[in-house]
Amino acid sequence: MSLITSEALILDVLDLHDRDRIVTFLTREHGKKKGVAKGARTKHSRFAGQLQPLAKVEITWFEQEGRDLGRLSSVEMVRPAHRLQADLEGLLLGSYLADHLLEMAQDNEPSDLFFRLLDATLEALLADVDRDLAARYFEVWMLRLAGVFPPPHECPACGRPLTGPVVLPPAGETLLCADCGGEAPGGLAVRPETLELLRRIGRLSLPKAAEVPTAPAALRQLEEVAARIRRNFLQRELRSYGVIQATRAGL
Amino acid sequence: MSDPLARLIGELARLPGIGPKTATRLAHHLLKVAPAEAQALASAVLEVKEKLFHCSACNAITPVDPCRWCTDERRDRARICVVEEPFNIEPVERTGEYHGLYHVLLGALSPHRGIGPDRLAIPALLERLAGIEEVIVATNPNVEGEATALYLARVLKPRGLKVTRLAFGMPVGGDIEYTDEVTLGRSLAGRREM
Ligand SMILES: [Zn+2]
Ligand SMILES: [Zn+2]
Repeated sequence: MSLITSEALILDVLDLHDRDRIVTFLTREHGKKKGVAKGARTKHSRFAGQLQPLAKVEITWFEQEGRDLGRLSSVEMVRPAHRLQADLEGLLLGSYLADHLLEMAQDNEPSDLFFRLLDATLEALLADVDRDLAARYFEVWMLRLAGVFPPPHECPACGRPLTGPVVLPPAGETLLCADCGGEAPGGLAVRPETLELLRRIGRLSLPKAAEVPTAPAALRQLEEVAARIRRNFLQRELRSYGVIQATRAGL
Repeated sequence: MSDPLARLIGELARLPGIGPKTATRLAHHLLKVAPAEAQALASAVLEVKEKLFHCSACNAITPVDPCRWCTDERRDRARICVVEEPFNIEPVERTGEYHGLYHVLLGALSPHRGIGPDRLAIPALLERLAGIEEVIVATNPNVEGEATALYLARVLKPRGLKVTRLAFGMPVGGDIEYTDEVTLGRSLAGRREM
């Protein structure tokens, strides 16, 4: 049995039995982890108010060899996410960010880059960065860190610089020049302003990328491009994506 | 025919919060109890399934449909309290502060768990709004309950309804099930318009 302390971002909190909760959290060194917070549902629990989704915390847990589920010993709040969770859109976005890590981060594998991406995105959102841009930034970088969707500098098929028209083929995980990817039906012609936004996202931090105003049309198309690549990569869509669209449609 | 013990363990392990280890321990315990005790458990399970169901109007668990809250003429029919689960009704009743109707959503909004408004009993709520002046949203004070409350406010307020939320004097991440009736009563009395 070992006792580990680490900075973590809480991804999910789920009730377990009558008294306990299961907490899924992301750490830099140990990747995605799950632990039981004993007594967390009871009124005077030492975890009360600490187990907040998307909060940054300092977490200490016991781990036993060969067991997936650790046991939380203590959780101390470092940065709550309340400001993001005060309105419906913020709550939906938060669930969407967490869903990416729940699906794409690995258990027990160092995940420094995933951690830094989620941490920086939350930090910027808590400082009121544009949420639409933050979501697109996060989607693109999640895919890039997962090894798909490289920056659009040259065409991966022919090696020529991507200066002219650019296409996302129907089952593609990357953008191609129109000569290489333009034939197949169902492909998506990527607009120059979308490409500019994508390059800006690849080059700058989120707060810096947000200093330049972005055309809504570019944000919408980038959302579509990222969603297609994510579906091709995961072979399905994240559950939160459809739910959020259905929720917005009902308002 | 499969091994009866393995079958019992398999059935127990399907219950929420019961893993294979606990299921095995429970099954071995049941092997040891007197036949009458095992019979009592089995018939209690069957009776619940035969005699209790969800109220067709509000989704509360009830032996008669509609349930006693929906049919009680003394209750305040201008107010409806929205909760996540049937077992959230009893704590609100215990406060003695509330005398209106109830509506059980059977869940809370949670995108990453795949639970959207279409999975909740929201259309049934919208059909019950005739004569209602105030909708009191008593979902849990956690992110799912909060998202549900904010969604309901967005849907209900344009219909001219007063939508209120319990004023919780407890940390976010709490649970209505685990709130004592004094605190819950105070949260009800101090409910705020959304
Ligand atoms: Zn090419
Ligand atoms: Zn009823």
